[in-house]
Amino acid sequence: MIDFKDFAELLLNEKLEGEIREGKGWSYGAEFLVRITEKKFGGWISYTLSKSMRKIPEINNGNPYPAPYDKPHNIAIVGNYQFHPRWSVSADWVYATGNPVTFPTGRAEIGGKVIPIYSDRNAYRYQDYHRLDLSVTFYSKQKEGQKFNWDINVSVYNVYNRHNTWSINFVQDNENPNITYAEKIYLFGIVPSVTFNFHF
Amino acid sequence: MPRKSTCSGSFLPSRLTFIFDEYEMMNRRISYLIILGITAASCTERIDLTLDETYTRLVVDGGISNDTGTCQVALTKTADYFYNEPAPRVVNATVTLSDGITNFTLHETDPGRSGLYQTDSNFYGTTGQEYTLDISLDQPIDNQSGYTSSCRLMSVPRLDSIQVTFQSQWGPDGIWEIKVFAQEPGDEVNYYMFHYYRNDTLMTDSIWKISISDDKYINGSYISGLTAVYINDENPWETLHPGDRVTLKMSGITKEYYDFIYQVQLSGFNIPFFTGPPANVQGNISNGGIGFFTAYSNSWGSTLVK
Repeated sequence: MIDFKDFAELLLNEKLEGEIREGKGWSYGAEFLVRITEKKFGGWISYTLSKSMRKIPEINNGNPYPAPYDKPHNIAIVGNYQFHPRWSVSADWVYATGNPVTFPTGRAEIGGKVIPIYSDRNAYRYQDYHRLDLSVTFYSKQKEGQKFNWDINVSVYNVYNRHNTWSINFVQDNENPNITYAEKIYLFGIVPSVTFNFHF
Repeated sequence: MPRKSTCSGSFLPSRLTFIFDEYEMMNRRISYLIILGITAASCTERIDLTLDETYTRLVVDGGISNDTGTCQVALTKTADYFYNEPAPRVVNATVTLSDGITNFTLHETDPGRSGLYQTDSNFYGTTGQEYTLDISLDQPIDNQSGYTSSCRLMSVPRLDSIQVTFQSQWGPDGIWEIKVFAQEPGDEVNYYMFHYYRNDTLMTDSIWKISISDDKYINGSYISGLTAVYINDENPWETLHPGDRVTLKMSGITKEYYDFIYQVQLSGFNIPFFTGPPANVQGNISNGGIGFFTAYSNSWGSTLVK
């Protein structure tokens, strides 16, 4: 198992292996899945319980810490319903515990800059990730001997426009340098889309 | 509570994608997929976080140079991350500086109030000498009242001259460059720090404005117009005008101090895939203290902006 050392330089670094430290890692967990495959209705519910830890002598004072991808709870609910020969709807909802992250628990002032004093490695977590996607598909009429068919799909990604965290930065205010605040970066809010498929 | 989001990225009214699906290819069929949608790349918003408190630590910020003047050390304490006040000062400490033979006392400028400790104004350091700072606190912080720090006063090449040029084609408003002409010593790895003054006003008045450089690409050669400082003409507070006097201070610093400035300047930012996991800045204060006591020598150059 490997992880990046403290203050690893990743950008434009030709000797990247020098930024890595070796140690032990272990994971365990359980999975649970219910699947339905009816003629008109299909879908599944899955739940994963897991734990992934690392222990690397030169990181976190040699104490075990959660791996960056450790997500104790992971849920997926997927459903597809063909309510008419030419219409179908589908929905999926995914949920995962937020990824482990290292946050500041204190600050020091040096030369006019506020520097963060950090918690143990990965001692905090981002907010939980969840998202609902919906879609409706309309199919063209199937005729005997026809060389082509088509379908139109209208879907909405992230229906309730959740601002799932991609990263959190800690910023010193420009106007009042005494003030520090947390700033979240998220990638996609609600994204509607229309897809036209043509098969020949 | 509604939150203000700032988004950046490209808005695509339509996008045409061809998908060559393996199964479809087997059937000699190709799907044409047209995606009509809006894609926003990324958004930022200020958020409220609840963070734990950690134990308090001493913060040391000070240094000496080979120029005659006062040697100053500021003592403060760490605070909660969202403290949003100036750092609490550490007063009534006993601070002494030693060059191995002589001890100098640093007196608090406003005893019991300022947390700033200074030598007399006729103090100067000697190149090659190792300086040790001793701090003894009136009231212990995290059960520690004694701290020490050592730093060697590094040498610096003589600045032959400096040059100021303007690159009008760089960036939206152009970039000013301060260039260095000097002979770089080849016998060792050197690290440099650059401060500059505009008409006797120190422009690099905060650690994040300081330029630093190692001698990776210039070791042992004559430095002929290497850019030490970039000034963005976009920022009115730092831009230059013809007739301005620009003074550059080039300082020889230790590798430890170079790494420290680099880490301080980077701290706080976390971009997945581009930065590693965040970590505490490594200083040179004993017993868990934060910060740095540095020693460096200076070399000065000055020119008028044309």
